[in-house]
Amino acid sequence: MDVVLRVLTLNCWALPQPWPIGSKHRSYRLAKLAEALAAGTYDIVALQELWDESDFVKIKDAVRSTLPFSHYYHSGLTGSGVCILSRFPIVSTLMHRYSLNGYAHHIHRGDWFGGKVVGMAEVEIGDLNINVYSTHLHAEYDKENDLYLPHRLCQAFELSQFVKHTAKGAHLSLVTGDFNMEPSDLGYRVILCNAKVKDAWTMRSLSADEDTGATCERPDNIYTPKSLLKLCPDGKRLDYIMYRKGHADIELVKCENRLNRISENEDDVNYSDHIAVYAEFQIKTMGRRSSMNSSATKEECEPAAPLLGKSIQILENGERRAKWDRRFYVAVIVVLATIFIASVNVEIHFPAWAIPALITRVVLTLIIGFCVWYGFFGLTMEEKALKAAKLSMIQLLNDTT
Amino acid sequence: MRLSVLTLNCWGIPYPYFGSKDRALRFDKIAGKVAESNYDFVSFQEVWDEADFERLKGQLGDVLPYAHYFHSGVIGSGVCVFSRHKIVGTLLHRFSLNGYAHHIHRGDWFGGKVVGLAKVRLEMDDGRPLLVHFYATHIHAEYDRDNDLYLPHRTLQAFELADFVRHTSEGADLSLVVGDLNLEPGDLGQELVLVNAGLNDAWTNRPGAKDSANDEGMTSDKPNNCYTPERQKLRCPKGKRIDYIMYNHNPAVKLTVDSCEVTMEKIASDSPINFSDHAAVTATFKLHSVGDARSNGHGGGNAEERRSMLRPLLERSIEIFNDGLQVVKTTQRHYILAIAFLLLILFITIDVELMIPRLAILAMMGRFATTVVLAYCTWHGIIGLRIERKALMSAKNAMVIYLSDSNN
Repeated sequence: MDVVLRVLTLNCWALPQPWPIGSKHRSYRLAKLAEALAAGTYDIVALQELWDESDFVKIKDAVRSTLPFSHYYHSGLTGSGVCILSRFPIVSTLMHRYSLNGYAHHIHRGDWFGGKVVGMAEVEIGDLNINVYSTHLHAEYDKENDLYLPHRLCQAFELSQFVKHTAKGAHLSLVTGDFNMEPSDLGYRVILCNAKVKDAWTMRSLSADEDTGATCERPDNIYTPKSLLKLCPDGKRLDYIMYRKGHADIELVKCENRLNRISENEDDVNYSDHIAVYAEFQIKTMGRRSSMNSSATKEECEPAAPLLGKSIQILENGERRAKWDRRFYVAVIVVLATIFIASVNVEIHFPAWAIPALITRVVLTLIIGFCVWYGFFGLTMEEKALKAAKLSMIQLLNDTT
Repeated sequence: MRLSVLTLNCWGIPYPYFGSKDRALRFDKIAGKVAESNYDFVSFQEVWDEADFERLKGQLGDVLPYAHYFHSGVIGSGVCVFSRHKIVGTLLHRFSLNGYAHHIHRGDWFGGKVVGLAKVRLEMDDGRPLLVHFYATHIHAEYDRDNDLYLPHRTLQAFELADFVRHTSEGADLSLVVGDLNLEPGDLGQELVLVNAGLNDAWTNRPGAKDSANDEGMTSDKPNNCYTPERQKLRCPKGKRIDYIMYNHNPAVKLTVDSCEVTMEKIASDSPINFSDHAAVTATFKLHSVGDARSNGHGGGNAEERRSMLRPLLERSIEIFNDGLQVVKTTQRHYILAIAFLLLILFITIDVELMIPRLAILAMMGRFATTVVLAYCTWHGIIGLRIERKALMSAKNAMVIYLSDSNN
């Protein structure tokens, strides 16, 4: 039996909040996306940044005739934003919440509240089991000084571990989504190496009119901020379809970018601030017993040890930084508590200052409360999560076979 | 070949006064006893202090040279594993819900409870490789059976445990799932674990199990345990069986349970002190390989049976989650009221120290406390409860998918 599988992934950029937080033209873009998905011939669609469940339900209803099965991965406060739609039955799902996902107090980022995950759906096509993974990792924001690097690396590692451990029973595993990492990044290489997956874009057969493959911050995308274009004129390749063969013969037929501009109309916008990645696979199960391990890929992937070594260093830097931060927070607590106590009788001496004094004390209380919570609990949880990932990597280094 | 497994909840709370009694002595005795025994895999739970873990590692290093601690949460997870054979990889799953931060009299929330996996590679007598998945866990405690506030969280943890084992054990020849489930045989969560993950309970599968119906294999709150509180002895006079060794295996491996016992109670025959407030469970398995056939997954032929057994369990669990979601809704309303009330208090007392100068310090402290409580209520009421709601919905939706699949 030969099966053709057509897969699409897109970061929809659908923040539902009002301006300035919300995404521009959200309702219009999502409606057009639903049209494109319903009209297209896709078997599996993975979407990210679909933060509002009602947006998910609208798309689900619009594509019901071609993609009748779906699952939304609920997590965190606003998320996870990750969902999977499928032409074929989803027989089970599993979700892994990343242990680290930025900081609650970095409200200008908001990643923390999104509860980022990797969601897995087991899809059954006749006798074939396909594992579809969809994820959205923490954003980079500043390549030169990536505050979130230990968290992002940890997420990449946890993603690769999750795939590695849950992919064994599948004929084909597809790992899709917005990794917020470029092929040169350590996290990308850890994913490829540890999960033993291949990047469909790099494995595609080349054709004459090639796209750069950039999926975000593209010059031809009206939502790309001018400042980012200066830093990175071609855009970045951050969205991927990766795949791993199980016990079946898999051929990558094609991989290309899709869903850029909604129409040829000059005034029309793009579907999102990202574009979609599309890949087509041919799966042959003609009674041939292929090997269960993808041992053929072992020679083609990077040796794990140096990647893990570098990652362990980055995680240790994260641990060191957390320990240093704790000292800082304790100092802040002491200073603020002193100010608080020193101000005890200020309104008795200066009655006009009563209300400002009260407001200041409330603000100080909130800050002290946060610093106590974060300094003693939040940072400890971060340290433990970093340590857990680090120890797990060290265990992998023990596996010399 | 023979494989020998031990699990023990060590009760290692490290704080003075609140902490566990006789901790240093008991841990020393635990290490001594295990060091002179012949286990292949050992899991301890409630090892909250990393220094205790390091000490155990040192004391057990000769017989169990490979060890891993599953770090999680603020003080936990308390779960660690020791192995005679090389650990080649580990994986960790933190349960999405684990009680409440403000239930400080419980403390579970800070423990960051998990199920941890340690992958171990062995060689059988005929040279055939054997991949063992050793899972260790500790589920949220029950506290009050008649009015279990944490039931939705505990049910979710049981479900996530079963799901995690089911999805990650495909490649293993033998999966061992051990630990303190805080669930008794027959409890919904315990059945969910056994059925969904396709596991067998070593205690009920031990030789002579049918003959010794009287021996119920209690592991906790036992009447002869010096740490069992008096009121527990009245409530459940025989104790509870909440610690387990469970297993499943690839059909290419033939397995029998050679023995399964409750052990490690008094530290010495003439001592009143127990190793812990729990007893340990130990099991020995006999394995040999059966031909070269490596089948896809475990017991595939029983899939229909499993689905029909799973259906009522999932339906009851969904009811529990629905109850939990209802509680979240009502709690949110309560918190909004509390926030309004506290704001009102702050507002009313604005000028209290101008009117009564002597109350200045008291007023300031009172306002500090009120503001902190107000901030927590705002956080938990708006953000914390919403996160809880999403976690419950997530588990419920996953179960609904299983149920709809059973219809196919």
